[in-house]
Amino acid sequence: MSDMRIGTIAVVGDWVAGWSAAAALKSRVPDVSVAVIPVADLRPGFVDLFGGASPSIGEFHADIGLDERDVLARTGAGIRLGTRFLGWSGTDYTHAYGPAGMPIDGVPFATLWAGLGGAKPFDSFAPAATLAAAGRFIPARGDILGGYANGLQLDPRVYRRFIEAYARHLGVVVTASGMRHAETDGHRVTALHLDDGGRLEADLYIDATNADARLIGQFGDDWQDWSAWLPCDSVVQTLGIPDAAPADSVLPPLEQVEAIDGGWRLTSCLPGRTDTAIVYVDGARQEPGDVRRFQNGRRSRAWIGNVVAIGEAHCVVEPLEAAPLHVLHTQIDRLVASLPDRDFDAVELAYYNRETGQEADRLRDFLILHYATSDRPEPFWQVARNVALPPLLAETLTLFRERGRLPIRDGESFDRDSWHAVLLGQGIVPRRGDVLTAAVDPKRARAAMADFRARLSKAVAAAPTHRAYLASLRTNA
Amino acid sequence: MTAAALAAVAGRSVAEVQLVESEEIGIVGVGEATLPHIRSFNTRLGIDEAEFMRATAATFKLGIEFSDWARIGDSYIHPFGAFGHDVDGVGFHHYLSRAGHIATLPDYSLPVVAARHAKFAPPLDDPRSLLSTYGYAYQFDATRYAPFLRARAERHGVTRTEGRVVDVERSSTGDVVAVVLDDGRRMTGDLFVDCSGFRSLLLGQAMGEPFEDWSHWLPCDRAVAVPCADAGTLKPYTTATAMPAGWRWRIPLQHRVGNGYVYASAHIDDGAAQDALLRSIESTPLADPRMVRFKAGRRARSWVGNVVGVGLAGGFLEPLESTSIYLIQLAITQLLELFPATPISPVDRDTFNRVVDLEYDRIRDFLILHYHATTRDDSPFWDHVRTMEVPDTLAEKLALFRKRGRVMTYREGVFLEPSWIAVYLGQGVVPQGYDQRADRPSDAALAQALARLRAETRDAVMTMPDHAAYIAQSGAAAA
Repeated sequence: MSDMRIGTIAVVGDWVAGWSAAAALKSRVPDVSVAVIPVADLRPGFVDLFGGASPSIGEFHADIGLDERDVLARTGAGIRLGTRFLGWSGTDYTHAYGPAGMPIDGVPFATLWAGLGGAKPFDSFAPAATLAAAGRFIPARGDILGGYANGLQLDPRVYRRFIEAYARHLGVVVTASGMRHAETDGHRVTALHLDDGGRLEADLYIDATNADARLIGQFGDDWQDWSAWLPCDSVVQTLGIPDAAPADSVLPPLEQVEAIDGGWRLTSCLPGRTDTAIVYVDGARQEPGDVRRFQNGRRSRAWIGNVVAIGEAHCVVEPLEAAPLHVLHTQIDRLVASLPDRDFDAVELAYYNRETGQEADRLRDFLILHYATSDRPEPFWQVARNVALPPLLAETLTLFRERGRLPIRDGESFDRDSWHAVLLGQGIVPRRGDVLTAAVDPKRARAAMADFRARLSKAVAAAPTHRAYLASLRTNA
Repeated sequence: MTAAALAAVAGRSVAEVQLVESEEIGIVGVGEATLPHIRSFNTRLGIDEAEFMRATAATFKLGIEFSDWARIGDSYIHPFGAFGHDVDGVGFHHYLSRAGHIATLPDYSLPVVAARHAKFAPPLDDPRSLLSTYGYAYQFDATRYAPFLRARAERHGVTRTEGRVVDVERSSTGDVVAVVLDDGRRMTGDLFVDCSGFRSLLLGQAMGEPFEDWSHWLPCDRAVAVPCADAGTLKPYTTATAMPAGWRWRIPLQHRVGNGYVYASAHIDDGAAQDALLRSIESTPLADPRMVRFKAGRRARSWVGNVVGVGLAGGFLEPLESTSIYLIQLAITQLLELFPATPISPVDRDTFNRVVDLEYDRIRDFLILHYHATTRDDSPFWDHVRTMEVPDTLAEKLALFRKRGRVMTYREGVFLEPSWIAVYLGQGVVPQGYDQRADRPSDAALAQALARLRAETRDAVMTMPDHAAYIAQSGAAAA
């Protein structure tokens, strides 16, 4: 079978998506040559503008041989433990990665908290949220400060240069001339024509051209529009002015998302700068500046013939919950693990497409959850929560509202802890308690919860500040 | 089982549980082979392992041996555990494929090697040890399990009523209001759990929920069972031997061996099946052979109105992979998690049905795989199953594995990747290719690593006690 193996891979697009895919393919698949082909006038994707990354970036880096401490020290990134939500519902809350509280008598903490009235906010029992609220960070340990993973808050422009340098170090080559157009035959790319008149052939073509979808777009597959549920279609970003004396201020290891009429405002704190953006629906508000338009949704198929679309070439999601980089990294991981032969067997491609599509749809549902459970009065928000939801999300919400049950489905990116953090954070409390809670003595449970909170706040107070943690990496590097 | 679980987990504070059963109605199973899930179920009910094993004359089970399935003379074990371990995120079997030694995969499974040597010890907690890489279940005497659970359920406050249901009263909405017993007593309830077996008294008969017939894929519809004395070493596994018109089980218990022939009545008559069974057993029968009839399939919905079908009342799949008790547990666990309020919410019902349906469908595909992936052409029965059309879901799974050894994965379900690999390979479905990433190590390094792991697996097994000795030393021996 060795003669049928994929030996050459052309990655079209030299933004973060392209370089990330190239680095992963080169480092994880033995004996392949990988070339990156730039494209002139290619628009950046959300991953090139917004640096929020969920914990999946840790796995991505580890898989390609990058130490996270190096990434932090070399790119001026910070830690990201989740998202702080302001104004989405009655109370502000944090969705931080990892668990909250501890089970009592086998009853999950979220169930207990909901059953006992939740006198203290749910997130005040989450180690990662408590650390973040104090502007502190320490990698998860085995004790009460444990169970969470961290994401990163990248400076995307710096990160692009960093991942490019790393890919080149691994042996990825880049063509001197960009792609002018792709030559196709049916549902296959036969060659890439370059600006200098050159022609390049490969066994496999990766479409990393962001929402332009320069390769896969030629096959005319249908686009699934999600804007009925995720209505925002415009972004204006404002880069912060580098902070002259950053070390003095608290650096929250969180992105902040504030709901406003017609959309939301994103605040991303980097160690030396704070960027902001307004994500909104055109018509509901007017924003000065450079407006970037988009539409949430995905193509039905990510893989057609010898072309695989990654990142926005397959699926566009707004930069809520650090979704864009998460989509990119999970897709790259699946691609590496699913390489077929040069015969591109329909069975293997169909399976890849189904899994990729399912994963995108479950992430979509998690994002919709935020809109569907807000209680803001403006027409924009009323429409967003009154629209008919995708069936699986509707079922999840009904099950949770009625009795706190939370099904976790195949292809889910966010785990039970994350769903609980957002559902309970947005004020969705089950109408009636779980049958199991009835067996737990409420007095004892309340005492155990108070004790947990006291121990947690003591442990957090002893953890280093986020800035001190980052500084320690630079010292040790 | 349902009453014991409802009472032990929910307690009296949530609901009053009433059990109606009749001493007159016998128990189907002779020996029952289970899956590792039974351990978490027993733990949840607070059942002590040694006490349970003593009460039911149970033995430990590391997997199932399949003999004569792909071709006469073959044997493979489907173990409760993985084969080797992933390297750089790539499944172990891809490396063996690359090395050209896929047929030696069983040598890298600790439970397979232990089963072949009749060894047993419970797995260790230390994830670095090979002795942590497996699970186990039990083989027990079903006639003793039900009374054992009944005693526990009654201790937890379940009211038991002796009697037979002769009539079912329904409201204008179609829900069941009460059941009437043979002595005229009338018992009301908000929720009725139908554990009446194949008769499906409430779900099938009263509610009229149709039965989805799967016998065109799983044509076996009868079984004849007989116990006999154990003539050899006490094996920590069940054996399923393919026969001309079905297959035969051998379940070793402490005090005897359970045997049975599961057959398709279209291909063999009852007398011939009984003769074939009696000829095949290793010693004199300890009782008269007993015959049961069944049909593979399930009720279109397991929960209709205020009636939930559990066990055979909801559906039936032959005991080839010991899933009967697992499916009962699944229904009970889901019922506990979705335990309804009055009035019952449709979403609880729909969710329950979706989970149960999905599990039934996946197990169905897994069972069909055993019959369909074969080269046997020695009887009309095998000609039928070998050449029949299989469900699309299975056809796709087979094609994907055959191409590159990829197993369709899902988050929840009873049979996960190692089980599918064991049965695909055991049934002669050999992948044409492998994951390209398995080309990373050099030939020499790969050969060396494989040899080392194989030796370590064998050495680890040799530190384990004999199965019979472990039962004695752990206090699990029946009087």
